[in-house]
Amino acid sequence: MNDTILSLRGVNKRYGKTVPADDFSIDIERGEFFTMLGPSGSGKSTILRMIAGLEQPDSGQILFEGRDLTHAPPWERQLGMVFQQYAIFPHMNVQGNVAYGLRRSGLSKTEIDARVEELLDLVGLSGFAPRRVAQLSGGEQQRVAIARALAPRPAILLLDEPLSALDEKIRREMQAELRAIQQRTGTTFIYVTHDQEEALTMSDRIAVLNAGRYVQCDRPEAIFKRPRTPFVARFFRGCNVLEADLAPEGAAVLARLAGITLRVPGQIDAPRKGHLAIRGETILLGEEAAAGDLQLSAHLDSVTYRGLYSSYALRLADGQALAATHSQQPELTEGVEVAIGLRAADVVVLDEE
Amino acid sequence: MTVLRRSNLLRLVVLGAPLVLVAAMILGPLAIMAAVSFWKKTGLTMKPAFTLDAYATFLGGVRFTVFLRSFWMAVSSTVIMLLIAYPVAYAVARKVRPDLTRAVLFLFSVPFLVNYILRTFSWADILGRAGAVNDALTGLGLIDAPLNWLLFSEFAIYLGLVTAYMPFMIFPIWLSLSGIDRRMQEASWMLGEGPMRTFLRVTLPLSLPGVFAAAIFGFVGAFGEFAVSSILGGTGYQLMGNSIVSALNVINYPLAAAMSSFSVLIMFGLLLAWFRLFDLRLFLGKIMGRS
Repeated sequence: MNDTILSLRGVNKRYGKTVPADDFSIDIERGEFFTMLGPSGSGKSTILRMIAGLEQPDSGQILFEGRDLTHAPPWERQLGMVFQQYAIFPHMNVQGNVAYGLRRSGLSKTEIDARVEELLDLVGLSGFAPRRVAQLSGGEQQRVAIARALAPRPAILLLDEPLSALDEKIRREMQAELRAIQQRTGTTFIYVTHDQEEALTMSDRIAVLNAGRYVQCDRPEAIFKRPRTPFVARFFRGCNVLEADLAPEGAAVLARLAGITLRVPGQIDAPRKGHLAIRGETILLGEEAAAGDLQLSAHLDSVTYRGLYSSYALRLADGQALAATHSQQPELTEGVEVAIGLRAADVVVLDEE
Repeated sequence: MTVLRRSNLLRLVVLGAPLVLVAAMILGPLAIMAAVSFWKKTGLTMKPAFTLDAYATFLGGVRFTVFLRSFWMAVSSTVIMLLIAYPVAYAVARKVRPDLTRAVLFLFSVPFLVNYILRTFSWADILGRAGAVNDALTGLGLIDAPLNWLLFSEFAIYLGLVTAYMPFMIFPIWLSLSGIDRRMQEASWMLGEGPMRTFLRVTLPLSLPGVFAAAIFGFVGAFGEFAVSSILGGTGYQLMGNSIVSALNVINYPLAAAMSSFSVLIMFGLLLAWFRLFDLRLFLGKIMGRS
């Protein structure tokens, strides 16, 4: 698909020393679940608020279906928004909240009631229309907020960390439901979060943001398995970032790590110091080590049992730490040298920032 | 066990003492007043009885007209004061920089630091035929002769009431407005409602508890006022407060008590309406939850 619904072109925004958007450009496809992922202060929320019209960019353009929206006020943009703290109107019941945006829809009273019930059904709150907001749990309030935002059929729904105020169990349920709602309604979702798992679970595409720029924008699996820079690699739990001396060799890279030279896929222009990313679960331990293309030895500091898997704290000959996880949980002795193996395809040569 | 009992006792004293004080200082006198209103006036004194004579005199005579006038003045001036106090409170809550809010609110409390008799007399001085306003207007050639209706008129009374009680009303409205999460407004914008509609559908309804509290402040003040009416109203002009004082002056205590009890009952009715319309605890909780 190549049907752009929203484009940001060279958007800049600065508050004193913080720069939430630094020449930020991106194209969002119609119907996709697009996630902006980043630590706090990376600018993701401000960029979302600029799309909403709640903040003004210092320069640059925001185009919606080719129309310039940069200076349109929020009430004219016809976008939906879901806030972190729900922002449900406390002086109205559930019906009043969901019907709020339908005043100018030209629908009759019966049609509005039907639409409200349809949306409550969509978010799993059938029959909640007459309830008072004070009677709702946090998760239910957020469902009402989603129904309310979707009621006027916005082309795009903006979600600003909508699950972060909910507890773990409800958050997981809601992740699956949000994805289902997005696919059923076909609405384009632009989702902001600092939670890597949330981003990986729900998104069609993820943009990882740092200091007002996006570092990498790709499908979840591609971002997870092949991070582009040390920043992205470190953002996803379980990824090791190791310093190494790199040199080009044909279509591959020779990486010198802990006194051993590894030949890994990649492309660099000239020899340089750099970083390798190795995911913890790709490291082969114990008897398996021999199956790897690359052989190393490391000192096993400790083994920690974590239920579904065990984690192994390793140290290479040059002192760099390496964390491995293994679901088979091989029993290894702590405090001795162990053999480890790597598949060349699992080692990622990172670009420097 | 003993420790527990002692702490319970302490709690009883700490919570009970103010309750006893309130009962002794407020409810006690009110009860005496209510009782006296049923007593019989006999010449220059009175004697305990249960008669509705005082109420009949009040409700059947000219003093009831004064009550109605007073009620109307209080209602209309409260409306005027709300129309001024609301925009001021809105500006303080939404337009003033947060670090300046306290300073601005302090400015609105300055009028209370001036004695109200002095404040009212200074209005008489400013509004009089030879006062500053008439001087300025004649000096500028806008009028030929001094304006008579500035002083000893309903205009003067409204001015006196508004300047006396309006600043009071800014505080509860400001409190209500500043307690409203800004995301409410943003959520309404995102649902396609512009600033005016958003104000009418979200901000105004959410600030109503503060508006009602302010209305009670203003109404109670204006209704019980007697300095403004006697100083700025001119000879013979009476509001409820003046009428009660005049009943006291002719030593008709049962009548004064009946008029006061009637007024207290009206106020009580208004407070009851507030309790029913708004969750008072919610409003108080909002105040307590803020530092």
